[in-house]
Amino acid sequence: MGEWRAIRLIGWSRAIVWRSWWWVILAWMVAALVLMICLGWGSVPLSPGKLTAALIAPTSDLGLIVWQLRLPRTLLGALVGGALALSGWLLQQIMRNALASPDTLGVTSGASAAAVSYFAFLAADFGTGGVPLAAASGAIVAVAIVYLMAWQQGATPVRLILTGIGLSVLMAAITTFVLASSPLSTTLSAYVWLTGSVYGGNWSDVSRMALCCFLGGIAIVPLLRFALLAPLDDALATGIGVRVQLTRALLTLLAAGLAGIAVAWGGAMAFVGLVAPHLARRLIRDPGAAQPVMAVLVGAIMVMMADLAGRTLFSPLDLPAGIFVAAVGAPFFLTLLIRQAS
Amino acid sequence: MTPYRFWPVLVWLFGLLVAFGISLMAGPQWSGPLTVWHALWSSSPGDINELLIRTTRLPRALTAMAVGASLGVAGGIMQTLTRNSLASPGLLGINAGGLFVVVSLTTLAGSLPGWVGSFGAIGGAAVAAAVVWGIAMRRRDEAGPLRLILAGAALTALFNAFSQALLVIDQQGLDSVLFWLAGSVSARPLAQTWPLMLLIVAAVLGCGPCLRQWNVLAAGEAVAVGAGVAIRRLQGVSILLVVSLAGAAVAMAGNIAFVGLIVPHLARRLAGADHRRWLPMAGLIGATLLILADVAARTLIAPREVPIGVMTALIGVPFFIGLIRREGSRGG
Amino acid sequence: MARISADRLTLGYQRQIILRELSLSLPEGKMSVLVGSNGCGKSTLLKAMARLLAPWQGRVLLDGKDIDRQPTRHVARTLSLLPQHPVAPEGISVRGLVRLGRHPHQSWLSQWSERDEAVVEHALALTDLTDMAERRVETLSGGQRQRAWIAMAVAQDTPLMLLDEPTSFLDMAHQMEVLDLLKRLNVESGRTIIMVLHDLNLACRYADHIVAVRNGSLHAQGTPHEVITREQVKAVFQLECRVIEDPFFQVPLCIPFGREAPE
Repeated sequence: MGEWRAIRLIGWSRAIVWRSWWWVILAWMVAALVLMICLGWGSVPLSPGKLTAALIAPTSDLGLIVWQLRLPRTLLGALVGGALALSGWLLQQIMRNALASPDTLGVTSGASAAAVSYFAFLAADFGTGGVPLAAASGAIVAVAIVYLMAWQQGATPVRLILTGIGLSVLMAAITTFVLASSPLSTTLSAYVWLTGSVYGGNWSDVSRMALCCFLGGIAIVPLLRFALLAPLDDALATGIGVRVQLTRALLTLLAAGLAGIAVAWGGAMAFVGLVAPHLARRLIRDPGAAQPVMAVLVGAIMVMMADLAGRTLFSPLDLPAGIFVAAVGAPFFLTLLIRQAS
Repeated sequence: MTPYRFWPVLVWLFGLLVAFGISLMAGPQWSGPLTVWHALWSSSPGDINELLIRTTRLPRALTAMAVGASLGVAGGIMQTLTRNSLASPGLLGINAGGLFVVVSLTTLAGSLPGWVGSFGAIGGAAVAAAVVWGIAMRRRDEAGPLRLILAGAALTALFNAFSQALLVIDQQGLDSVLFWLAGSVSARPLAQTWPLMLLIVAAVLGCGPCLRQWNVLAAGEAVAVGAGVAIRRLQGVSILLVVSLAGAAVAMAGNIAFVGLIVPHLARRLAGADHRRWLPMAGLIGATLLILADVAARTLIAPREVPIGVMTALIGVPFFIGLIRREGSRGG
Repeated sequence: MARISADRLTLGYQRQIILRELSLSLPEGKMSVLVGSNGCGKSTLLKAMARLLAPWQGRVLLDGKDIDRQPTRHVARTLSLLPQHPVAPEGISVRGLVRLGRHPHQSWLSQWSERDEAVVEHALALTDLTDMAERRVETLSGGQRQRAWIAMAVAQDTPLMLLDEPTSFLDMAHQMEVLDLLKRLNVESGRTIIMVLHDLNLACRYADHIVAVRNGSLHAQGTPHEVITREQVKAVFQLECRVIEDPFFQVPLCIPFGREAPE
């Protein structure tokens, strides 16, 4: 039976490639380790012993630092990274292109335009609490527009990508316009947001984001096997009984929703959605359910580490995590492009 | 070979003159043609209107003209060179490369003489062009066009991420650089931009000897080699021209989207497939379009201004999507 | 008795009409081959029968009912399809590919039942791929890859199989290998096989029923002896030829002349 092991329980059955799941378990452990490092490191460094003490006693001084400052922020980063990575993985499957990402479909630029407009026109009256909502709706609206524009008796991946890139440029222009025409203080806060940051994340952010991610996670369970079939060409997929256009639309919507949520709380963190799924694919070659799980973990680890670097490397400056994601992700991506071309 | 017909070019030349005139007249307070005429040819030092025309509107119109023409021609050359009707300096990251250098020079080195920024922009454009070119030319297959566009989009994202990073670190720099990011043809006195203007004129003239070879290249690389075109040299010269034109345009006016993409299409539709006809036309149309876009940008919500890059994106994106839909339905 | 038939079918792409008012029914349990010159509409016809193209007018009937009105999963349990240039997901193994054919028989709960496993292994054995089951599809040679695709269609376990030029890009030995395999499936498990072939002589060798399509309409159908004659070949392909009896297999053998006809 080669690599697969069958797992069967009455009516329930799955084929499992153990090797892939060993990698997933390893990634879990790495993620836990990174989380601990993120909690222990900072302007007040904690030894493992002190960290344990702080974790046990949430009301002590050190406990407050860990429980109220570092933990929510790190968890928010992990959720943002995981959601972006899953969204990127879904889009790469749907678009049959390893270079697709939430950026390519106009998701992030739509969210950015909406969020920056909110900063400029509404934040003064309603406070910045509405930014996540604005960003998420911007993302969904952008994808809806891209889908409608690309629709001609069905939407093909190539047309979706090209239309998405076109719309991204328009959204970026709108973003720049709003930035350029608003006062400098607005511009600055909007700009930090655009770069992507989980600065000041608190428990209410974490719980709301976690709820959204949970809903997204539930939605993906029945769709996962169609996501795994998405790289088949349309004729074959129809041949084995997949409703191609329906599943494509549902999966795109799900991916846009996930990216929208992530962008809403973490800002436009470019490259996570591109690089994390790709790393996951490289670690787990077998196209199965372990791949998206791996992508989520890699994304979470990436953002946690980027945020750690942002708040410790240039301390006392607290730099947006997005800078470090870009600094690591971009060179990686370019080598990827050059490899793919040769 | 059919004889070269001049009249469409003449018509557009006339159109350009009209647009230029309108641009000199337009503003929060419109001036009549006579005032413009006086301002240009006789100097009566006391008149504020005439002074305004000479020192603000004239440089602005000239900048828009030069930038529009160079973007139109640069886009056209890139489309021929990559044999891809979606290529343009904006989509392929060349603008973003130029902008990144401008941003890093401004934030890292503080205030610099204008020419350093200008030539930095050209250098950044050259680097971006080299990378995209390297990726696009590694392998050519049916996935080629898509990969080219993705490479461009990624490169744009990359340079923009770096620019953003620098701007977040150095927040003072942000305000002074924002105008580059949005694209603008205002506030560049001729005293600063004349070397770039000269470069553009030189590059446009440099296109002349290449026109016929581009015609052959458009039929395919193998055909061109067969017809005795020195293909590597032609490609090298073409890239040099593109980088000079697009780089100078970025240095003068920042990030202006979509002119390089749509103008060559318009030109080909009006003048046919012969480069000797449509490339000059692309220059004329680009210049006219940008002058008019600038007029619209400063009059639509006067006294404030829409950045001209936003104007061109607003005009260009619907056109771009229409183009994709048309190509899509042709492909079946 | 025919399981699949076309009822006054009109088809096209964009504004261009390809097939006009074509009616056809194909015999059950036989191998049928569609022949015709390039662009005559035979592939389009096959696509319509596999519900990949919605007809402009008319219907495709599967078991007496309109194919477009049946749930696509239900159709997929009756009819499998191998398109002309199938694309495999990156990094998939041969067994993984063959397993995809089980999709219409699976549900969210049951994604790898004992029956799934047995059918996949059987399909691998039938196509002689058991030894290569762990190899990645992109590392296979052209003939092996084509067998893997056929194995996927076999694993779908359908009484009807539609194949669009299953022998294109294969050398002569591999062409024979693929067709022998299909013949075996037809004879041993009684599957109805419908395919498009370019090679008239191979079509005569393997087909029970030949359908000649010309300019978007049905020109002739019947046994190889009825359809492949000098006059019909000339009408369908605009090609001068002689048809003789194959000395070994007692089927028509078409010898194309081209421009230089011998005296």
